[in-house]
Amino acid sequence: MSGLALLMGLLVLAYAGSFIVAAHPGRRLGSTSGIELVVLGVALGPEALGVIGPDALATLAPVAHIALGWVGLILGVEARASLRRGTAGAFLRGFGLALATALAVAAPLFALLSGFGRLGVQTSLVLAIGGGVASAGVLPAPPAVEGEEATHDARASGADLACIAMLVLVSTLASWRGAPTLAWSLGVAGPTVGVLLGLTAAALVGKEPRDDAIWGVLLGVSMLAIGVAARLSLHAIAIAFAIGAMLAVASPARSQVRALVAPTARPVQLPTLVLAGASVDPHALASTRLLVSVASVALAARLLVRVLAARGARRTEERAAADGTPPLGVFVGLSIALASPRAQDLDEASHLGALLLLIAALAALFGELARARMRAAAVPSASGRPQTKEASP
Amino acid sequence: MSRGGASPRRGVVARLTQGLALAVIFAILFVATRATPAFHGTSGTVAAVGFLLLAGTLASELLDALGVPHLTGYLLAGILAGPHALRLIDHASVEELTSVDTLALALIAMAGGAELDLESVKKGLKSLAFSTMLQTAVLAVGMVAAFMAARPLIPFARPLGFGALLGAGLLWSVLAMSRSPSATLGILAQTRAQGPLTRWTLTFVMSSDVVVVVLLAAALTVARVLIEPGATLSAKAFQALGHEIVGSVSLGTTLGLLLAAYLRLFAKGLPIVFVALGFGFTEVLRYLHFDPLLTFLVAGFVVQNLSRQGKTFLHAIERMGGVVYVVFFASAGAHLDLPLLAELWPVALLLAGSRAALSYGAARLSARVARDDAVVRRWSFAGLVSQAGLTLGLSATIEHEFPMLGAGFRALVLATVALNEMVGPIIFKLALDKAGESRPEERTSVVPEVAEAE
Repeated sequence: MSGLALLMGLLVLAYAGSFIVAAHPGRRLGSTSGIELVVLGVALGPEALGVIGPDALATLAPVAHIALGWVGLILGVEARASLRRGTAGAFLRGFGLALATALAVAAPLFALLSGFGRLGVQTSLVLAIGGGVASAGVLPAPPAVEGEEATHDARASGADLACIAMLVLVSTLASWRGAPTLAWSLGVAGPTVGVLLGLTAAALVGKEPRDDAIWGVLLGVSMLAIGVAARLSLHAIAIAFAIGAMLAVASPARSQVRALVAPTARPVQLPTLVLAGASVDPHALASTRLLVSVASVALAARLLVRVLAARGARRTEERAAADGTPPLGVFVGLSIALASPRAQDLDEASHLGALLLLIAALAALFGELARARMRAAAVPSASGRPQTKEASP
Repeated sequence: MSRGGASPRRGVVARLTQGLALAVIFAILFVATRATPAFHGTSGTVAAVGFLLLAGTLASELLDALGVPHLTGYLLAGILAGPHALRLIDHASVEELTSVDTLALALIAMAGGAELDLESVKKGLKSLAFSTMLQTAVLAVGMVAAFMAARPLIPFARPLGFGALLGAGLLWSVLAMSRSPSATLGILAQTRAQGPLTRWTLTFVMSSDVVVVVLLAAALTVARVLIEPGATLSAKAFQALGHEIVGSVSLGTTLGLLLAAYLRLFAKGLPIVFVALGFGFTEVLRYLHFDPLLTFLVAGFVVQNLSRQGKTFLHAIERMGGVVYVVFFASAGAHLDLPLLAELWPVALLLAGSRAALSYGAARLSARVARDDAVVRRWSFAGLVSQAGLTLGLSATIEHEFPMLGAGFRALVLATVALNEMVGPIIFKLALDKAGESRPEERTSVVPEVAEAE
């Protein structure tokens, strides 16, 4: 299928989807994590049905990069809103939980991979931390207790920030070639560019802008950031996150910006998930001897830390968060970022992205099951209202 | 742009902020391109789109203080960043950016059609007929003469015999008759102008598109006899032209009715519809050998005049166009071949000057004969100077049909269009301001008023 035809198809899908969503506001189609779309992508991809061929994938790669950058921007814009409501504690708890999960998964994974012998220290470290990030995070699940939305959103934002920081770390590690200055600059240059562009965007958006004016600025800044990130081998999602955070901090029109961009997250993510799935080579993945052991260790470590966290949690909501699934944008970012040419220079790296995507997908699947169990057990709220932060992964 | 209520200090702060923002984005892309000079890829185009959108808008806001039209600001930003100046955007990215043109031209044509109110057209029919006839006749004769007179200055024309020179001059004269719907609409979108001059210019420029397409087909047939020995007159070209025009109008009418029905039933998701039309439907039209510009023009006209959805339709185009036009014109600026312009500027200036003078004379004469309003009599020439994408498209057709004229013909067209593209919008905006038809209080911009944030 040609790139143009596929793009048109995605456009029509998005268009039809917008009608369905508009007809049922508040109702979410499919799972919260959108994991079924990754599976759909694998099925449609070049290694399975071949509906999305290699050429179409190459043509649409920029679309995926733009989508990832846009997701980063939304996460950044959302971050301040979570902190502003006096929910710094929840934010920090989300941050800490994500960090703890990532480290808890990364440590046994690193031990396993180092023991395997064929992988170098660098590759093992990248894969281990990558697996940790793929397993971490808190997806904003619907609060069972009414009035808990702010706390819940803050926790999710904290986890997002932790994941993005670790993503930058993984990216920097993947490009490490014995030159600390280069690696350091990669870790610092991205956020610096993001902060500069974010301040520029805040200045341009102004105080009481029109909606289309905001769109103009956001599109311009995001696309420039994503293009520059690709040129300098920086992490687009981290730069875009910094832009969003700066906008949220410095722009007087932050509420308007947030109201505009938040509803776009899911429509942007879903096609990206299909593309991420299509970029996975299931045959190559199946031939990787490490597959079963790595996936099992990652999953077991994640479950362990989540169970411990849930035991320590005081409230139902805390437990629901502890059982949450990884943020969508992060695992999509992982799969694509690690499939970049820079990472492919590493040993067995061509399978890294797919392997990490698999870890994230398994974590998402178990998270979905846990959430379903929690929802069934929880007392419904008075209004029976749906979750409030659907847009933010 | 300055607004009535903003204090001078706020205005200065706004300009400084915009200047600083412009410097930051130039610096970021400068560092990125210099750090990775060998980088080639689609991401370069993504960065270019973002950069042109921001830089074009900021440059236009800064130049607005000097009374320069926004469109010129977009062009300047593109020229400065383009492959012939700072090289922030490379040749490959500039070429890839042409895909934005199809969307921009579809929007421009639909907006142009929707701006044509049937009642106004009917009222101005006499004026339109006179001006079309006189502009065509004066430019046909005058530009052939100017081209032949400039022969010693034109490298590719020197070896041509009299017949071939006459044929080349004839083709040149048709190109000279082409105007720029995009520049016209770009200026009108910025100034929000309303009045007799606005209506006249819009009606004339949009209808001249159709006239030029027909005349080019005729000129190609006649010029072939003059330029190529042994060639004879053939009706085949006119047959194809008839098919193109009738087909485009029919399909445009159908599309317009469908759009009107869609607007009535849904009235949402229009940006997606426009993207699908701009990219997808344009491909279909090309496959069918129909003229996309004419088709979309008719569609816009139908929505405006045969339904009650005209306002909604125009508003939606304006909102989306605010972003698309910036990239379109800024990439046109990046396209400008500065070394070529430096080489051919004397003859380009001569030909562009001749065209402007002849357009001025014909406009004054036709306005007098048709007894137009005083403001039209005085300023109607101003909207006829700009040339842009349509002229370049026509010149590509000529180059394809007459390879013996070589790349020199197209190079001269490029140089002349570059001059008209830079000067035309300035003259038109000035005329609208002088005629009192600009409405600065209703102006729109992609970048909001920074001063308000201070």
